Amino acid sequence: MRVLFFGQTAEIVGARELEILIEKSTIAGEAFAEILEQYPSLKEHKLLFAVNQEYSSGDEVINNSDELAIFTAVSGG
Amino acid sequence: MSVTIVIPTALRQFAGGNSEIEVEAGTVGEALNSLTANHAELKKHLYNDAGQLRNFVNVYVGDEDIRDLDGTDTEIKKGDEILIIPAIAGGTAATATEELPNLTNEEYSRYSRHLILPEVGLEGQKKLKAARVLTIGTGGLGSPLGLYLAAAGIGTLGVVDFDVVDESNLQRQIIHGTKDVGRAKIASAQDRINDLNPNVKIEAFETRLTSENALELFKDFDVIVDGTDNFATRYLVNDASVLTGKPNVYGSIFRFEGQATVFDATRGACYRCLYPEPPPPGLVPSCAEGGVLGVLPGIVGTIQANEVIKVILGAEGILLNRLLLFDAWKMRFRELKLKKNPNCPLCGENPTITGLIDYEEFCGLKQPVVEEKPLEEITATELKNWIETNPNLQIIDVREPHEFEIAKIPNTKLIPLGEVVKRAHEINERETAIIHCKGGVRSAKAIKALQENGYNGRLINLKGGITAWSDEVDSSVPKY
Repeated sequence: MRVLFFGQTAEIVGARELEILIEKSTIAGEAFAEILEQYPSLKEHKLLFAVNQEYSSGDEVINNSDELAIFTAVSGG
Repeated sequence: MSVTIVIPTALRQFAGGNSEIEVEAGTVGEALNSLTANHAELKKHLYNDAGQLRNFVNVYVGDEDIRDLDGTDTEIKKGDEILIIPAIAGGTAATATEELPNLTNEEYSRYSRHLILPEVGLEGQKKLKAARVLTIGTGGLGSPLGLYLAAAGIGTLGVVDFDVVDESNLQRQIIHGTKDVGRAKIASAQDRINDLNPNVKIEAFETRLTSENALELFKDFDVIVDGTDNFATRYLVNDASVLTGKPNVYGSIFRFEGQATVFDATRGACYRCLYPEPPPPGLVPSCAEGGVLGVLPGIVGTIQANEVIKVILGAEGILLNRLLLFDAWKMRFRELKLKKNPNCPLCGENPTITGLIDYEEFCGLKQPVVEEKPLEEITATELKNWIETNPNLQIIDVREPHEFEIAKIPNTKLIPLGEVVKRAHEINERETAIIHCKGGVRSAKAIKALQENGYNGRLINLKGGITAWSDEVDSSVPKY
């Protein structure tokens, strides 16, 4: 499954995109939690989560064909 | 000849509440005269002082605009329907309720490439001329914004900035030039805009946008554009936009990435629906700290200018309820659907924010004033009297175990300083606790640490520690 990172999350993870494998019919919130466990510094940020370009409530059922995104607010101008 | 005039919802209140009115007439003009003869209020809405139909009122016979027929002289046949269709949706307040200004000959030439676009046209160009747009900031985003909005013929451009042009700005803030280094950004931007399009009326506000001035400032404009560079001002711009009912055309940048959208709480999400809380201070670097690709604000600011123009024109396909994420390094655009949050404290169903707040504090930029509790202390002699009268008094010794071996006050509990916070639950908050050490310094630290970590009971420091106890109360306790 593809996971996209925007803003500072990309720097923490060291990549703008990761491929991860999940089990069939995983709950999105669990997948996000697992990613946060792997990159604990992410937890310091106010994060937004998306599944297939829509806000995630965390309870979507996802498969490897889905796309997740994690991003933060940016303020520059 | 009998003809039916269909009255639009917005105007029914001026037509006795009727949705259709039948009149006898031979032309559209006669029909409207007959209608307005009976409804004087309606006349004011349909005609200007010169007795001409107002620009924003469209009159159709069947499915044809009378402008494409013979205007008010258009003849009507039996059974025709006349439809009055005022422009409401999408148009800004200025264009919906006021006469649109005419263009000068110079403006016809200048805007000719707009005028031949059906999507803009003469009507649209006049709307742009009538529009009042407020841009906050004349930096990376504000530069292309100011330039393109001016070039496009926005009639009145409000500009807010208090900064001075620095050499390091020129890599991206293209409204300013090398000769402007050291000048007020607002003066430099004003010169450049005047040069580009002298028709634009600039209202310059050389001031910091604050909770005190924002509402007053925003209420005179149709569209607000957020080109600021910090979270505190972004929340301020959002809140003031929502409270004054204005669309907020938003853009922000970070290194190679940009975000843009149009927040309009009357039609969807606001910034707080997307970002309910600011990130902790210092966590998200500014452009000065994190760097930014110079072209990036050019792209994002231009997207904002594009959307401002579409909002004014009432165009379809406005970047509303869609967050655009742009990656300049990968050259990729992505979108995220936005939804109004019904629990949004500002624009939700039960708002708790009904006025502007202190945004520096909201974003954690002000050090919270920690009320340092004055340290309560007692002497060893006082403690001895307390022990005799108060059997529930707790005495906590925060020294190390090897010191405890050497000397102790009777009936004390040992919790070394290093463990005191995590073992706080061993102290009963409902009873007073005396904290002591060897000389009174470590115990004072222990009290401070406990209080900072949420201990709510009464803590009293033994002045002079166990040494004072030995001196004043019990000389058999060894001094070490």
